[in-house]
Formats: sequence, structure tokens, C-alpha cells
Amino acid sequence: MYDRAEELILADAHVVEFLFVNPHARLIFNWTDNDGTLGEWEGELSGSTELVRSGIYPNLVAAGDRVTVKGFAHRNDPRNLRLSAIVFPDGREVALP
Amino acid sequence: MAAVRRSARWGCALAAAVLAMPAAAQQGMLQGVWAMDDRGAWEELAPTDAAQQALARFDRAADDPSMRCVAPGLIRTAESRPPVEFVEQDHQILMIYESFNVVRRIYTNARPPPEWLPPSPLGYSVGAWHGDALVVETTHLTPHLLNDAGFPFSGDPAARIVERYRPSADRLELEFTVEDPVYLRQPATRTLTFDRMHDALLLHYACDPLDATGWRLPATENSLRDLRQWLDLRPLIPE
Repeated sequence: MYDRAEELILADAHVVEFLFVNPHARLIFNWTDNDGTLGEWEGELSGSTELVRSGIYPNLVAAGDRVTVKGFAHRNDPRNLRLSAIVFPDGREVALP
Repeated sequence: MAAVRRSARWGCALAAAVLAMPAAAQQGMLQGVWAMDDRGAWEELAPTDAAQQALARFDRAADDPSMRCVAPGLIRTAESRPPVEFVEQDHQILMIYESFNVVRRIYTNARPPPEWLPPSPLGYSVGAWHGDALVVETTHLTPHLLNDAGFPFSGDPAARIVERYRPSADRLELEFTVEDPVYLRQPATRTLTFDRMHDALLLHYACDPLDATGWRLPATENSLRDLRQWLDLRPLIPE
């Protein structure tokens, strides 16, 4: 479902919503691609239970935050990623399980 | 040379002793909570034509029950990353998976399945110790998914799952084999490893279909309209 051969890095993603749920949490964000097109993207994470075990809580990000997201592209949905990490403006990187 | 022969003889004797080890010597080894270390990967996942057609048709939002908070079948439950607790009893082993709060029974008293037993997502599991391994055979399975990419498991009466659990003090290896003549040209196996969790606490796995479907409900003030919209969509999901 996700192409794990290459990790995408999307800088300056604007967080719309962080859905902290099972079976998969989701990060909804807006991102402007290289052609200047603004679009809403969906990043899938592990479920909220697994995130809690990794020390990740619903306050990881909030609407309006600007972050860099890393992840693997969905094979069929061009605006869907399996997130691997989030990088904050201060350089702090949170790896996602 | 004599030493080599003696060593070989001892090896054979040890192997024979292990094979002859009574079940009681292994009982209790699984007891406790285990956290997945390595999920492994399928070896020899050889789809039949029918499996390839099912893969091509797969629509995760509609065809993956876990996206509606329905626990997946045995295959994906067994490979789920959250911890699993084993409770060994005289006649059965209970497996409590944190993922989807699934509880599974492995009968260790050679209890045969009743004739009337309907198939189910977890099937009917019978286990017995063979040397250092608890070997579990599961039948009476309903169709479900082998992975989240939509690889199907048929639930055909000839299909079965064989698990070999090899516990040591703090390590557990699981060899997981799926036999499915409808969708697999040959049995598929993966090996997973777990670490024992001391002082472990299983968490409740909360899952709300309204959040989990993958269709984002618009967050508006009109929740009744949103609910109706969701109910309008729901009939599109095949049962």
C-alpha cells in the first residue's frame, strides 16, 4: 500500500487536524507542492494505543503548527503518506512507530 | 575423535531428551506479556490468479473491517504490534491481544471441534507441546485479510494456520504459517520475535468507527447532519 523504497520529505506542512485514534491515527495537513498547488494531505500513523506506548500524545501537534513531515507515499493516493517522522521548527525530530 | 563421537552422541541424547520432554516442563513458559520485537516478513507469498484478482479489486476503506473498528482475523491479529498476554490454564491457553481487545483460546486438552461449530475470524485452535515448541493448528476460519494491502485469505475448509511458539526466559519466537490452496500457491511463512515485558500493563484499545473509517467527518456544528451523512455512506460498505 505504501512505497517504502523512498522517504518523502514535505517541508512547511500546515497542520489542520491531528486525529489521535485507533486503528490508525491521522495527521491532516495542507502542503503546497513544487508547482505551487495547495492541497490537503493525509498522513497515517500507528494507532493511538501504540503511539501512547511510544510516548506520543495528542498534544504532539496542534492545528496551525508548521512542521516538516516525513513518510512513504501511498501507491494509489497521491496525497496520502505513511508518516515516519515529524520535524519541528526548532529541529527536534520525533520518529513515529 | 572419541571426543567428537561422544559429543555427537550427547547431542543426539540431548535432542532425544528434549523431544521426549513432558509437556509439563514447558508449561508456564508462555505465561505473561510479550512485546513484539521483530515483525518479520512473509516468505514465499505466492498469490494464485484468484488472489491477484482480489488484490486488484481491494478498496481499503470498504474492504478492511479494521477501518470500521472490527477486529481483523487471526492472521493480522497475530502480527499486530501491540503486546499480547498469555494466560496458561490446565485445559487452554488464553491469548489476550491488546490490539482490538481480542481474546483467543487455544485448547490444549485435545478437545476436538464440535461438528456444528461455525467458522469465525479467529477459528478453532488446538495446541500441544512438541519439544520446546507449542504447536497450534487453527481451522474453521472465515475469510479475512492476510495483510493491509488486501491479500486475501479464503477460509476454505482446506485452509489452515499453523503456529509454532518457542519461548525462552525472555524471548519468544513465533513461526507463523498459512496454508490456503485457494489464494496461495504454496504455504506462506513469517517469523516474528517478542521480548518479555516485565510489569506490563495492557491498555484498552479504544476504537470508534466514526473516527476510524477513513472518511473524515466534517467537524461542524451540525453533528446530526454529519451523522446522517455517515449513515448514508454506510450501506456502501459490504458486510
